[in-house]
Amino acid sequence: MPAHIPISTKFKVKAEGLATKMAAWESKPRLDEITENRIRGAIKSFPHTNSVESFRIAGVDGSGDYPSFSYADSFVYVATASGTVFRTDALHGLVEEVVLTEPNLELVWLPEDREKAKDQWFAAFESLAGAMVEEVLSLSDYSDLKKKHAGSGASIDDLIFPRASDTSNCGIQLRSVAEWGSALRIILAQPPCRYVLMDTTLSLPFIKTKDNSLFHEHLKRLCCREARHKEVSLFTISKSHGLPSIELVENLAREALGLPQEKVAEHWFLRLPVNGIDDWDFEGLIEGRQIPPVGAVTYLFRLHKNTPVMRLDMDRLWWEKRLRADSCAEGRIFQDIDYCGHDQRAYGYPFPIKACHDRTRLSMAERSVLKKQIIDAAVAKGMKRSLFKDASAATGHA
Amino acid sequence: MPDQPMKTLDQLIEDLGGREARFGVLAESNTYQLTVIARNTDVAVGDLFLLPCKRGPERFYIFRTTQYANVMNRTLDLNDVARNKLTMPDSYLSQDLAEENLIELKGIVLGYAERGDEDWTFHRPRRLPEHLTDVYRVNPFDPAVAQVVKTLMSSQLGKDGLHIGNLLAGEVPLEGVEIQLPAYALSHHIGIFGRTGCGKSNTMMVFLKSIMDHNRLVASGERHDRRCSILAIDPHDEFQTWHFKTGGKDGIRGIVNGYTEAQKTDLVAPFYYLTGRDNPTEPFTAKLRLSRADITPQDLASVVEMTDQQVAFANRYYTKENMGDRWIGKLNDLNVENAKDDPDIADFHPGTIEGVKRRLSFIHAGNNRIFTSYDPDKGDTYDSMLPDLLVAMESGRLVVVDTTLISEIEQFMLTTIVARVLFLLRKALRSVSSPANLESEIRGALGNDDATGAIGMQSLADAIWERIENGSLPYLDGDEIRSTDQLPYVNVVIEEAPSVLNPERIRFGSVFRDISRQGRKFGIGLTVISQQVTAIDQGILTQINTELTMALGNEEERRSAVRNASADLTGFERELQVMGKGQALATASYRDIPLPTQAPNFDTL
Repeated sequence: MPAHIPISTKFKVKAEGLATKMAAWESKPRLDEITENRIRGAIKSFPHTNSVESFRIAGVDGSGDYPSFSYADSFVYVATASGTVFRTDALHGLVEEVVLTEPNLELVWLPEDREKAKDQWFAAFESLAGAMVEEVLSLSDYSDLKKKHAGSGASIDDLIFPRASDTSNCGIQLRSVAEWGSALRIILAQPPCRYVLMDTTLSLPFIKTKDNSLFHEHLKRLCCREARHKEVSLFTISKSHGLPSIELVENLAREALGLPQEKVAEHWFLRLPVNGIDDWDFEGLIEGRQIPPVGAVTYLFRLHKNTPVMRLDMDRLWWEKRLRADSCAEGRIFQDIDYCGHDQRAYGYPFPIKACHDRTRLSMAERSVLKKQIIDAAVAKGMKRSLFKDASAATGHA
Repeated sequence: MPDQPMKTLDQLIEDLGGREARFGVLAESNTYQLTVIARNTDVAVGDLFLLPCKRGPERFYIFRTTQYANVMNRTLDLNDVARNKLTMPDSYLSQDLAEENLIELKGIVLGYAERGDEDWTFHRPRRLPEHLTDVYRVNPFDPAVAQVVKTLMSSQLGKDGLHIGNLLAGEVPLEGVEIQLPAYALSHHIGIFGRTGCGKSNTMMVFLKSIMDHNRLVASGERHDRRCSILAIDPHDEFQTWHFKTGGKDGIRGIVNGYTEAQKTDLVAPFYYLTGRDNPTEPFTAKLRLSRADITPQDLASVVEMTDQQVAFANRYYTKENMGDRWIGKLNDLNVENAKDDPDIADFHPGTIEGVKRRLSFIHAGNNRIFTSYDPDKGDTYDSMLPDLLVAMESGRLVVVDTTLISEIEQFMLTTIVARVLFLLRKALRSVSSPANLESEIRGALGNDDATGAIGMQSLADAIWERIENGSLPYLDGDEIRSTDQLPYVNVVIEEAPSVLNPERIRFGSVFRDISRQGRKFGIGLTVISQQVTAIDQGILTQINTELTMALGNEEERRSAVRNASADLTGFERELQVMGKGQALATASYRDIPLPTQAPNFDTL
């Protein structure tokens, strides 16, 4: 960037204009008094929890290199995810158990030609999901939900496969399938976990779109279904809930809990209104977003003042069956999650997810090693080393 | 040649569980101390680890941890975590499988096993494993791992010998990894040191059983070695029946009862158990009887405190004309006032004579259960089982002596006499050139010389010669003198050793002074059993070349044990402090390294 820009008059004028627009948007009243009262009334507190009964809790997270490198007009992606399982322990807080001995890892080669790439996509999905694509689609309730919201079901022929060079979409698909594939394995593992937590949401981006769907949407709903069958509480937790003006909710929570202004409200949760069940809405904050997602129920909650308000999604059918009429069970869930958020390394955040994230994350050095090993193996098979390109480096973005 | 093909380093790593079983990685190290970083595991001081290495020939380094510490990986500081945990009482640090909680082990290399042409050979720790060597823990519960240890340490563990226990990996003995003393260790001197309650009795039982097993195998031709003999003092009368009376396992009696009649004749007869009790009725048991004629002034000086004048008087009186083995009876009858008229002893102060008489009071009725009178002039003939005891010792026998009913002095006198006479006989046998000279040589060794009129131990000499002539004392092999190298390894156990092996007693010409220095040459060793190391004469300690050091009472004793051990015990000091019942550090001059061992429970053998 030219060095003079930050001090140029033109830049300063533009920055002031931007700030004015932002301030006007920020000060826009978002919630009416009635909604504020409904929110205050819906906010529930739960006690700081330092002892719980014995249970297992898992965290699932993924990582990868999207792409790792390119070769001619094809791309190689590295997708990985794993899960960590802990049991509660009076002495150590949480003690990890061995459940998944290997991470869910796949090296995916995608040629730019979509037709040619299709087989690679299928192979990668099946490997990462641990199930046939047809099987996932038939067992998942995604198609039923889609029929209800889009008027038609989803078929295998209408799965969306991005071009190999569409690296961000390829990355999202591969990583999501890797994560949900790991979640599925943990949900089915014995002995069962009481909770499986994931750092994502239960959003289904194409649920209201006719025909088209993403494979990981099907897999996500299959996980919900299997979790119901296995009586596992499958929750997604997101720090980046994407809600504007969340401080409004925080203020309402503080007021609801009767705390003075300088205090931060902690240990509370709020279930967002569900269409068709609740007679109020949250539109002022969600601004057209699909929250709760189709087939899900969403909570906002805060464990500790050091960590932000987080979003928790759960399968709506699970909620209907287990929590809708049982406020005690609802509160116990957040107490259990609170207990699991007292590890010093991630105080206020469920440690199983943090542990899994740390375990799965690929560092730059690790990415380089993987890349080198893959290229070496390819060169050993007679391929030209000179044709392998680091996609990021090649465009000067590394 | 080994029974099975020698395994390579890679094959042994597979036996250890492969690379997945790696326990840690070697960090900073030098020839003094190794540091290993390992995952958070429940380890103990004394745990063993193996470090495979290919710098040079294939080698396995054997590492023993002497201390360890909890450390944190990466960014976390253990002290910060602890402070947080204290000030944030609800916070914790989860115990995860990630490498956050680590342990840092420090310890010493015991040595290394190097792959040779035919076998793995053990070497002293003159080398270091290479950087970042993988470290494998010796899991005491995995038989395959125990087998690897056995392969690598076979030359240190010993084989075809006397089983004293199994190698300890931390707190657990390795199944199948037996530590064996060579049979010849019995002809050297052995020290067993340990405070009350540390498991000495059970260890002795295991040891005695091993000796019996050894003799049985040698007799049947399954083992090619010499037989062993041991005179085992049993101050608590445990060895014969062990826990049988309380419903537990039978002792030596049980082993003997398991023998065939031929084995009993060959390995046990005429007795394996002597006692101070009257009329023992069990087979191969007898009441212990020695004669006053068996006691010499040197024995007395070895057992009780005597002044120089008293020793001089006793020796003069013993060597008087027509005295020798009759000296005790005559001295008892001696009127001290009349001694002034005897030119041989007139120069001794009456107090000195009375002093010697007082020191012999233990043989008087009321104090004495084992010594018979001897005065040929009064018709008291020589009545002693010492000659038969000597025959037993020279035939490869285990003889247990129950000393519960006899006085301490009688007990010490017994061991002193047996050790002294055996020593003299073996020495005479070594020096004799032809069978024709054997009798005179033996009589001379016992102070009995017709030519000079010295009587010495005439009664014993007569009895011994009778047994040589009838073949029961195997000193003649047809027309040849039997070499001491063909006779059994003989060992005499000295219980409560400080009483007779303390510096004061040794200084005044104890028989043990000579035996400790020269006994090995003639195949006679002592087993010194003591609760204290410090109380034993330094000269005796330096002659001991096999030590079983068990739990000791205090720091001073431990320091002394480390100082006097036959192998370098540096790094084992902590082990001595935490040693459990039946555990011992076995050190020997013929082994390169100290071996922590756990004697098996005799009841389960």
